[in-house]
Amino acid sequence: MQNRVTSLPALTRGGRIGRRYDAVLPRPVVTKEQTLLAACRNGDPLAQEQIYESHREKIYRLMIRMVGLEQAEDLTQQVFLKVFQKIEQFQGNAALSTWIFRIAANESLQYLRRKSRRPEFPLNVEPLDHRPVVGKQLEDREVLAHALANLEPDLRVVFLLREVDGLSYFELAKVLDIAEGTVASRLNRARRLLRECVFGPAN
Amino acid sequence: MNCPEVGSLLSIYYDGELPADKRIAVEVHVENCPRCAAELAELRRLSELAASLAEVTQPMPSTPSARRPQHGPAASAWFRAHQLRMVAGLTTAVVLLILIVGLSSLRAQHEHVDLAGYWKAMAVDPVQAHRQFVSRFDGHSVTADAAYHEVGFRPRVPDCPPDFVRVDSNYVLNMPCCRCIQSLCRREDGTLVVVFEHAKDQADWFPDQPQVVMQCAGTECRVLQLEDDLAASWRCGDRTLTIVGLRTMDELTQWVVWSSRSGVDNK
Repeated sequence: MQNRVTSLPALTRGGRIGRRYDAVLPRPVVTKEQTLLAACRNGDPLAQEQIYESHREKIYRLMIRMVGLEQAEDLTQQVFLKVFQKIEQFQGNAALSTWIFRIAANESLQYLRRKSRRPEFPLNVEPLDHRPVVGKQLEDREVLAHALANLEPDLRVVFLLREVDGLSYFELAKVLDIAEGTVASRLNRARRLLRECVFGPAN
Repeated sequence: MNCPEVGSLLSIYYDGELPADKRIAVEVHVENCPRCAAELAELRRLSELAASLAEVTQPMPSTPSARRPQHGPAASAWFRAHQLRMVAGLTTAVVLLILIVGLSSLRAQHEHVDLAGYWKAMAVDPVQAHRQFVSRFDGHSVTADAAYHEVGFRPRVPDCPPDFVRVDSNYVLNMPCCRCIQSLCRREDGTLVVVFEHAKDQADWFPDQPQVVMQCAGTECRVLQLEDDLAASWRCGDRTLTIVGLRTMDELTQWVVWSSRSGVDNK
């Protein structure tokens, strides 16, 4: 141990660095995700299936709130079409789900820009819900659903990804390609607007 | 800290993203301030409601496509299992990827392609289909610049695309006739159009399909009708362009006009 600690100058003395260093550094771990990605790039349909299955519901759920019930399925399929088309370009320098969310966010925002929905035509978002719900809870939830549908898309997407999918500010910044500060201010703004709708204007 | 300061930080604090010193200051303030505490409670309530909305969501329906038969056990990629619905723009995307695969039988059968057969077979598997197609022709994706070096001519679409599409990706393919550039182009509405370009006399890629030879913007084009779209082929200088997935003759005209204008000096 003593000898190794003799350290950096010794290690960097020309030519020896590779071997010595190897002995000290742990081997890089190939994660399950990397294995899955490699298989997917090779066209392994099971790998593709696995990726699809593990992300499908999350993306669909996001799409329902972003583009409405009618379009959610199509948009979701479109997202995965893109995912598998582009999977070769995915470097693996971010988590796969972050990358997939990024594609989903872009697709939904693009769709909304194209359709340029105006606030007076909110999305039809309410899926059939047969669960019995008690009193005020139902009203509040419905109000939130409608408030969300009326929220400008940039604010809506960041709120949903934070609250429903639990992405951190760091991840949100990557997904939406904005600074973390922007993430913070958009979330703040989204919550203020939504709170006003659900709880009434602030004092 | 006072209320306005805390107010502006509350959302970040709530998400656990405040650095330690500010976090403690906010906590201390909130403990002693009913107003800010109430705001925090509203944030929590908002989260509860959002979570309950998320629970309410039905699982994604998988609607069987009435028109297309189920693919056999051989193709197991996700489109098969989840039965792509043939609607609107997505139909076009599917059709085009299918057709790309349809064209892939060129290799096996000396430039004869059973497009219709391939199309049916690939109806549920376009993603896999595109991958297989590219690999069947020893293809790989390229940038516009790299394309020139690989095929020996400046392909027009990657180089200087028309302004009514955006080029998604380009591939070099070793077709039986020659090396060819395939460009996946996206219209403004997000749907795909696929362009093949090669510097040879046009191989007959649709020999068994009824096609029409017509003049389009002063250029002789071969046009054929695929199920929902058109495919067309024409000579342009020393190149042949083949486009799959066109919707209207007007669109074909757009492309032909673009091709006759762009880069007369392209080599």
